Amino acid sequence: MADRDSTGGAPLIDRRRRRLIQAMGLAGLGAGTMGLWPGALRAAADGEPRRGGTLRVALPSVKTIDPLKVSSGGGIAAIQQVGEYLVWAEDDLSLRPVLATDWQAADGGRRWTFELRRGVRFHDGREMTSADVVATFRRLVDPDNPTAAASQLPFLRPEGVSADGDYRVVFELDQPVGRFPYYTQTYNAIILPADFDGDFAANPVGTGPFRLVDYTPQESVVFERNPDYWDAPRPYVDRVECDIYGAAQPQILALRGDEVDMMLLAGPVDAKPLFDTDGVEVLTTPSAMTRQLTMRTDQPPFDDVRVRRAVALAIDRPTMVETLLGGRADIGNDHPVAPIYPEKVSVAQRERDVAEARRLLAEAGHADGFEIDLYTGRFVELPQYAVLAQQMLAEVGIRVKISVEPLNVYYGHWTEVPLGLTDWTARPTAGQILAAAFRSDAEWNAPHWRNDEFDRLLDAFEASTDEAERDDLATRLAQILHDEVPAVITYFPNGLRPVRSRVRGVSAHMSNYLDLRGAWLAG
Amino acid sequence: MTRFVLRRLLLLGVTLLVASVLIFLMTSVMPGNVGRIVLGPFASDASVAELNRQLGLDQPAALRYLQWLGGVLTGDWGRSLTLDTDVLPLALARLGRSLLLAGYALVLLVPVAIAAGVAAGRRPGGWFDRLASVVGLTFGAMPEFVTGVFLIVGLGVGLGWLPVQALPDEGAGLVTWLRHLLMPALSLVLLLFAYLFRMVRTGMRSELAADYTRTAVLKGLPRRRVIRHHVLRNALLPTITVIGAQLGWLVGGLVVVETLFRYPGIGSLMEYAASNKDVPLLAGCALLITGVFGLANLAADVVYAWLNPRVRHALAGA
Repeated sequence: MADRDSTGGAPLIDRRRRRLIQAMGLAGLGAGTMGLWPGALRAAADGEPRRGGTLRVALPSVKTIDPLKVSSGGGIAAIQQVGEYLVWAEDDLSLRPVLATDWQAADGGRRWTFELRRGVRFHDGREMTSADVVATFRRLVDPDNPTAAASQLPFLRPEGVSADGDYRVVFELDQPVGRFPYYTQTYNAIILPADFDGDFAANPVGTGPFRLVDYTPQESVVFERNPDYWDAPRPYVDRVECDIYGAAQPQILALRGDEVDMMLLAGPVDAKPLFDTDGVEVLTTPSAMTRQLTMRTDQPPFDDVRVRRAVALAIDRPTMVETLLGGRADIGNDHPVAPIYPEKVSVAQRERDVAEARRLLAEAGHADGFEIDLYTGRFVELPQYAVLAQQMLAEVGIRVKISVEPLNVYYGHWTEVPLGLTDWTARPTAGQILAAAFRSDAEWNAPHWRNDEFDRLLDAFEASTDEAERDDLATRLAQILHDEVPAVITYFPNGLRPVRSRVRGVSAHMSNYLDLRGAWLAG
Repeated sequence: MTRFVLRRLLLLGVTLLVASVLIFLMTSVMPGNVGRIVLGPFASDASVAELNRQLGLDQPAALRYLQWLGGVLTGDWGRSLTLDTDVLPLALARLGRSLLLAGYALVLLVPVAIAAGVAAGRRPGGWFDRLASVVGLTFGAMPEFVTGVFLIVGLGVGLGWLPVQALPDEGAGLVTWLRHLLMPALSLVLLLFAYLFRMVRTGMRSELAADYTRTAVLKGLPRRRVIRHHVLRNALLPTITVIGAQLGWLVGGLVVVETLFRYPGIGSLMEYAASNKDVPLLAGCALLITGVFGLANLAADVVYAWLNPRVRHALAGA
């Protein structure tokens, strides 16, 4: 295992990023387009990692931990200790090679070849080879397997994945996808043995830094260090004990009482008292998470673009960010291409303008305003957002009635409601969220918005591997969304991860993924 | 007496059957879709439908009920839809924990509340009566998530005397368990104290005013003996029924306390099952809790009958 990748460190990541850019045919470009986020990566400044100890993690609700079906934040974090993806998108959206060491695009991004890391062993001792990777991806896109991954990889069919020798896997896609390597980190896509029997809780085998030794549903997940991990000397801690909590408040009390070392994540409202608690640090990272206030564009009153613009003009973004998030967010401009993405978007920032909003409403025949139901889920700051939006919209004459529902109820009809407020998790590429939320035929196009020009540009954007062209396409896509306003996108909240001060080598993550291979406990 | 108990047990069986029918009826009209709940908001409708088909949820509710009932009768309580486990071992482990906490809380609560009630009832309007009434009612009016947070912040985070989490590490001894469980048990004691205290106090007052008490005092029995042998026996009868009725709630209804102190009992498991439409899990938990509730009431009635000669004789004649 004298692997050249096991050395770690920043220069290596730079070299990898260069290689990625080369792989995408972008040599000479992009060197300055992906900056490092200061503060997010603490590991470098903390000195020599210390071995041993037990790291205690508070996880929010975990439903199933079956990698195919998993969707809860806690469940995803749990399987990420046992299994690994081909690649890992870092905080700055550069790609770290994990089980794949290299990748090449051919045929304009339609055919992708991944070189696999050699000598990686599953927890049962068998070597991971291309057969396992092929089986994993075929399983994910097999229509007989219910999994959220299928909708993340719509351009991949089971027969499109094939092995070329023991250490090379080829993906033949239905359409060119310029950022395909990022899609292989779909949260369900940890590499499992080819003969995975479907019962992960009973037989949790992966290649990851930790082995699952005990899982008690709705209570705890316990991991032990994998001594044969390919990236020695990682992981540093001997044991990871994850306690599963039903609510945020007890997690915060447990963290303050030093009964857990870290939380997987905290909502901005819950985290407030932790920012000035001794011995606790709240790690933050910019994110592409969004809250979308979606309007049904296929029915009155939001079928009139002037009404939608009036709603967007009524929202006071800086006040929202300050009140709800204590300023810890990037201001949004009614499109989901967050500043964290490498694409440079230049669209004029929308500011609050009550007079203009009133004028637009009057022009659309709503001089006296109108009443509308706003639906949202009881989750993080969404209920408070709804109340603020209600007050701001009242000033332009729109009378909002708020229905805050349990998340499971809201997700049962969120694409049907006239005005809905939905949390969207961060995706590593802008194309993923643009396609999932706004493509005309997308299942989660909650505004029921159709725009052929947008679809055409989006196809080109997804296929493109040219950075300058991507910037241009992203700007045009964002401009259409900004003008048409199928959804108001007020801000991109930072990802928050509260930890005790002795926890090192851990960073916040924009999708709340959990990477503990570098985690260690200072004395 | 035996016939009475047998009849009550039979009745409990009928109750359980009716309860299980109601659970299935209610879950079939509850909003939410299990496939969607498991796979998350971003799975495709096709995947959701496929998962529901694999879980057998595309079948009519009546058929699913009969299959479930057949399973329960043969000892197979089914598999949770959203957690990777069988229902029975999970629900039983949780029930055991809940019984422990409920028992602990009752052991702390009952002697204190009865002693305080007796003392207050003997001198109504005295300083102790006033103090206990005001303190008891104050805490009784506070929801357990408020007293619980006060306890945690005070005794746990601030003073560091007691662990914040109720669940000790594996293999912990009895003392550790009781230490960990003290705070959640205390929050329950504070909540229930006023109720029980006032029941005892009222019972004491009415029995002390009764004719037989006056007779006993007038014929020269010492006051201590009057209270112990005549008054208490009668004054505590309603209290026993109340304790029996509280036990069901103490075992199955402690969602808030269990969540706050992270003590995974059957109450929070059932709450999880209900909010995630996990019907086999919900039905299993409900069955166990209903069973405990029925048995607790039965036990209270038996003790009541044993203490009350009138009922005892009536039952003997039946």
